[in-house]
Amino acid sequence: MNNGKTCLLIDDDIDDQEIFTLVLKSVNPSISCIVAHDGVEAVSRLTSEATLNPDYIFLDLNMPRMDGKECLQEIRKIDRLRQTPVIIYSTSSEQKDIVETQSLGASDYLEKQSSVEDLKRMLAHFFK
Amino acid sequence: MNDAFNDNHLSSPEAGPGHPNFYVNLFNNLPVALYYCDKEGYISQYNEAAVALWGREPVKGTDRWIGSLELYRADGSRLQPDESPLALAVRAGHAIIAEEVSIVRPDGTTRVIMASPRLIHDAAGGLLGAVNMLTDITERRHTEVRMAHLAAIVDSSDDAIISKTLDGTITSWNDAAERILGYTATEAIGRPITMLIPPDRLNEEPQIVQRLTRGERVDHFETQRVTKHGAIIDVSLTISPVKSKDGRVIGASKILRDITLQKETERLIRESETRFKIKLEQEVVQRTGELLRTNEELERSNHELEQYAYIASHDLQEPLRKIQTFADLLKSSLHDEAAVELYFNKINVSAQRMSSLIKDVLNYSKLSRTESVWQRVDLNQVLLEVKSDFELLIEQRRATFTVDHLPEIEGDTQQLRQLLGNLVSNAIKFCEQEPHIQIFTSIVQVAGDTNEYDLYPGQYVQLEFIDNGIGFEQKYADQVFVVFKRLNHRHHYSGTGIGLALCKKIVERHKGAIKASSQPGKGAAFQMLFPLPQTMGSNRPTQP
Repeated sequence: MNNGKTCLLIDDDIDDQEIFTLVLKSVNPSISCIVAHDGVEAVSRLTSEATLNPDYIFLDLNMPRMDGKECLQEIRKIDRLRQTPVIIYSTSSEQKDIVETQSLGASDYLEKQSSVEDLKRMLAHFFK
Repeated sequence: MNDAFNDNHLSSPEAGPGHPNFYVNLFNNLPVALYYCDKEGYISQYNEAAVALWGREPVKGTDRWIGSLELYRADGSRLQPDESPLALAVRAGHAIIAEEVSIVRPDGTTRVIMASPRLIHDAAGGLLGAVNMLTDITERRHTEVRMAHLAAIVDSSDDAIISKTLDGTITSWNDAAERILGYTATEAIGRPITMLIPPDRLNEEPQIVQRLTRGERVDHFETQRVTKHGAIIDVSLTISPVKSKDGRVIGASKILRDITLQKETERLIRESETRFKIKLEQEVVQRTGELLRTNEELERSNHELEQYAYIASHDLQEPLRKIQTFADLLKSSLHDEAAVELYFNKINVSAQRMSSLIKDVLNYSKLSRTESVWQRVDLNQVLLEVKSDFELLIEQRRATFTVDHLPEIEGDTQQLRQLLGNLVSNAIKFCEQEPHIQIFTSIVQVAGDTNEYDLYPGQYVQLEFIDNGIGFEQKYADQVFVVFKRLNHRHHYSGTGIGLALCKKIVERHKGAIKASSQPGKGAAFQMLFPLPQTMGSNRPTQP
């Protein structure tokens, strides 16, 4: 269990933010979830708020203004976040994206699920 | 041979003109065949040459008129001895002009002879007999036949056969020479060979003579000669030296073949080959161009298919995934009325979004499938129609325009209307102030096979569409044209994100190019290039 941990979800899709937060809460109520609406907002907050130290960062790939890959590179530039697990959380399950994000420093790759149960199972497995 | 003359020889000193046997010896030793027979025809005297000619010795008292037993006339009919020239002369009582006779010797060989019979009379004028001289003309006849044969060959030749002396005087001239060169034999013989040589080739003759003097042949020398009527003809010459018996070169025989027709045929074949080659090259260039264009179309088509596959697996998945998720949530919240309504709404919104995406994708793909109507399109007219389409929005947002006089281009009116419509719509939608749209036009020259626009070289019309909207970072200048690629949040700016992808596709279907440049907050500019008609000529859009 990961009691008292913080998770940062970077996703422009409001529905996906809502679903993720809801399911994460049901899987592990002790993990608090902070949301950033895109890469620009996330990088800005992570840079300016020194106290913002998420234990996990879930990152969508397809976002306006700054996409997930660019955002991942920016995050890895921040010293205190070099070892923070960044998990790609995307509709895409293309091998190209998996390999590329891995080389950019992503720790894991989770595909957005079509059913709540599947998402629950996936997150439960991840946080086991 | 007569025994009485056997021991006497003209070479003996006693056998001189005073000797009583002188004439007998003379008769016997003459190199021509001579014999004597009495008036009855019985051969009584003959010399060695006669025996040699007959190939036998006559039997005295038996053989009459001639020493040969087998005689033939010139026409091949058999001749009896009593029909021989000597018999005829004796019967006629005077010398006759004898005909040619063939005799067959006992060994089977044949000789051709001419008889010259003369009657011998006594002092009282009575006929005693006759003397006959036989001349062997076999070799002469053979030579004559050979000569006639050769002459016939020369005369029947298709090639001109001319002989000349070393100083260049024509000495013989066959029928073909007359046919080819126009001069009769009478006109040509005795005249210089140089009359046949065009002035610009007169230097050939000394060189030919030089080679002939050395005893060399000149084989198939292709040159030109001039006819009696001044026509220049192409000829092939084979010239051989003519030598005297002692081996001296005394002249030349020349075989001249008229190769004008052959040369003309060769020229026609060469021309035909050249024409064929040019045509083939043109065909290859045209086919290569067609293949390249087909290949480009295929690449574009493949790229589109990949795009559709991407769209199906990403953009269309997204609302579908949400519908399923919210349906799950709805199922587990049936007891909560507010939640039910919320999830119903969300399912509805996602379904609507899915519907919009599908509609836009179909619209986008239709551009490739629908047959375009290519014609001259006045872009001023198109812009007027676009302004009319967006009249309400323009009025609400107080949008203004600054527009050059726009050109006419070749294209599809409906597609161009959609292009300008999308740009105008975006300019108004992505703008936080009163929208101002500017359109400038100019002619630009695109050079080189590879250029930043990836266009064929030539002249293009450039339309520059500038707005004062929110703009975007330059690094996204290519991505703005990707289907469903959004640079802004959906909840801030409506639409699926297909507008500029459609614009790019329309411009490319017009064999043009579109590029974007922008800075955040400073508006965006879209440069569009369309081929001018003359550039279009080699680059006409492929009809679907």
